[in-house]
Amino acid sequence: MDQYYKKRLVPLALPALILFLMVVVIPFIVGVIYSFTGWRGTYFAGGEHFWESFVGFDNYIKAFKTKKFIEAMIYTVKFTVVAVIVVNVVSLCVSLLATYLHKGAAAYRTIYFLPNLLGGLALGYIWQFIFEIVFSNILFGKDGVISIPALCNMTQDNTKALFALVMLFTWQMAGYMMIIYTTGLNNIPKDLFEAASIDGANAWQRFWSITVPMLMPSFTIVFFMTLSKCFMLLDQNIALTDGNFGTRMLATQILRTTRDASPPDYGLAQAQAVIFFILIAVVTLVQVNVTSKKEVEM
Amino acid sequence: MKGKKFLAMTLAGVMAAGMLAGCGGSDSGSGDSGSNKDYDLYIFNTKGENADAMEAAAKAFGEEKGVTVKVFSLGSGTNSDDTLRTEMNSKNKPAIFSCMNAQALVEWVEGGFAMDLSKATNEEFKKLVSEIPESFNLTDGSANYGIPYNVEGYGYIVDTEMIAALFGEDQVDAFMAAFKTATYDEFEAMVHTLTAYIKEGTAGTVTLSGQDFALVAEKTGKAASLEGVFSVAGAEKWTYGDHMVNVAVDAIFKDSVAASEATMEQLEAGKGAFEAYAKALDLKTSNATTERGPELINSTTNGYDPAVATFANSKAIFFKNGNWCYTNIEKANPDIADTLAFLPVKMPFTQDDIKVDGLTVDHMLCSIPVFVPNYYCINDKVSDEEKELAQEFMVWLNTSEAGQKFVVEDMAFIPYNADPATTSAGYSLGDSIISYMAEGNTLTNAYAGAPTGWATDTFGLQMMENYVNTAEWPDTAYEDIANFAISSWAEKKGLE
Repeated sequence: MDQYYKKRLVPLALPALILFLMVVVIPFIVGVIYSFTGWRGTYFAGGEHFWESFVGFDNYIKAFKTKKFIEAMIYTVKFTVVAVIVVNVVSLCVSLLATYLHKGAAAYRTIYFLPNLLGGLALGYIWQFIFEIVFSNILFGKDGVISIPALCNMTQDNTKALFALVMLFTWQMAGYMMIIYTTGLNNIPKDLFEAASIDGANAWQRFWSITVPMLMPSFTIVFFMTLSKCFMLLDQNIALTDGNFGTRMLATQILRTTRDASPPDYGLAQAQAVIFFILIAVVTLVQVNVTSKKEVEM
Repeated sequence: MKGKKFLAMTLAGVMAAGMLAGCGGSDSGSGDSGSNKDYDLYIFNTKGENADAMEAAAKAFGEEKGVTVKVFSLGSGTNSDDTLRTEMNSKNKPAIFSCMNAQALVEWVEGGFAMDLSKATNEEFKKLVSEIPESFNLTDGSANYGIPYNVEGYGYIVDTEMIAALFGEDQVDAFMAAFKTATYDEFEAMVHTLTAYIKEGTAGTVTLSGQDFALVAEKTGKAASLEGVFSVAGAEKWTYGDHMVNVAVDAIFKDSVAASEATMEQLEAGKGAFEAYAKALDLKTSNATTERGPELINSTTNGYDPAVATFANSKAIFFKNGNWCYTNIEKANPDIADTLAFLPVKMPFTQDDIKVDGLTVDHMLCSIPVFVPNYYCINDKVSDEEKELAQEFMVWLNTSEAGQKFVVEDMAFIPYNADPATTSAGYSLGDSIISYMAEGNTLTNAYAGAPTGWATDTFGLQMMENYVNTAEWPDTAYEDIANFAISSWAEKKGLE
């Protein structure tokens, strides 16, 4: 089998490579070039061709001077910090539970995984209904089961909406991350725990000294996925609040930039997208680097 | 372990690159050499609602002239901007495309797409262009670029059967006439009387234009289901921005071109008009079917569709919207559709607030805005033959009997060149607009000249986030709203 792949490496990889080149690499390069021009969607401001329309770093300077862009960036970072912590804690707890279950573990995992199969927009609208009707009227409203003003009208306040989005995101992602953690947990040799118990380590000590270090490879991948997904969040943001009440996140901001001016400033939007890319690339690369250093060799 | 790390790093890079790729623009297809087109005329139709009608009209035109016409339509309600831009980048560009207003026009003029209609080659087409009423022109101030799709109008939609249930069958015509000329104070008193009637059942008397209308003592028929005076689509930003604020903008600027050339002095002079808007909005939102507060901007209960349903099911008397809403109301409750009519949106202007020459308070009180929602433009970047054909099609659609039949009957449009005396829209709200046109009681659509995104995403958002979601407004609210309208407009426009 190995021989087969070695001999035919090029023809087998080619279709994927060509596709990757055409739909990712080339548009990416074109996009970076356009971010330095006065691209307006259908023409270049100031010339027939893009090289006549170069504006240098103007679009980048403009991006950082745009209040909405900076606000969106801060809000995205705030959301990411909260969401990454919550998703990781929840999914780890759920997967610990799942590994200790003997009966019905499969059904339990399936149920937790299901929300992940729904699209972001659908999820957003489902939760909009939950926050606006179930939370605000039925459960926590003035005439609800118990009155908790903090859980009412969560989509109508900057801070509350952040937590609303975290709830939605956790509900969606925790199941997926649980699967990764469960696999990681199952790969830890049982004899380590046995040996530790014999030496008198309690459950808490066993968790911190065996489970956590042994789970580091899983942490790396889960952190990477949650971090990048948080930064890129778009559908849920649009469906839940549509950026109202200052809840616009970076991806939404880039999408809406072309609507903020006439003629549409695609060059500026593209510059924001490049900044967005660099930001995510730096954050995730640093994270992968840091967490993978903590992985213990067996 | 080393290999895994490398994999993770590569994965990170690939995924991140993938994010950006989605935002990449398409290649600019300059030059139309070697295009292998299988049509003679390409029409890009933005209005999904009339996709079938446009297709049929194009086919009829093609058969008459012996040419192949290609029509591209998007689904209704879809934002067509991005698709149109993609088509404009391709080799086979549409010869006829659509443009909403003077703001959107900038893009197509700057890019060299929109053809200056004075450069037209077809004599009949030149005549057609010269006959467009001045207020319906699509212009950047120097040249004319568009042929109107149709005209539309908006105001408070009211069900005349509801008026009959409130004041008695024989009072309907008198009420409608009296309402149009009534002052804002009379209107305000009427709203309070109606709210008391709905909430407490106290049958009072309403005075409009000096005439008294007594409410029927017992709530019967449609009046029994009333929950408020106004149905407000509170979760939609355009409810406060766009057409509502346009009534105030109309008092300050003659039309959208004047608004797009606004100076700081003109805007500041419009403070009174914006305050009048704020008062009218206060009255409307505090007498809605839903109490003003967080509940009113809840999109599940007070979005567009729920608001239409509230009105259509006779839970509210007035609903501010346009004739385009007709099909939605009809879908929600077909029984109500035939008895609808428009009433003007009233705001407490004084003559000092009105900055447009010749415009009076009386005219503003009894008029509804009638405007062109969309224009056909001809693409300067297609071949001369196709441009000529595009002009012929425009002439055919707007002047020939066969073309007009498609416009009026199949598209359910009110033609911009309609003679109010002889045209019938064939449905209640359309006929109502025609009656205002016949009386000359129309306003313009000046807000279309406001900076891009101001009406909805700046001003409408401010109203929703800071005023409509709170039951009690501070004493300075009216002034604050007016100041915000002026300062945000100036900021977006880059005025000092």
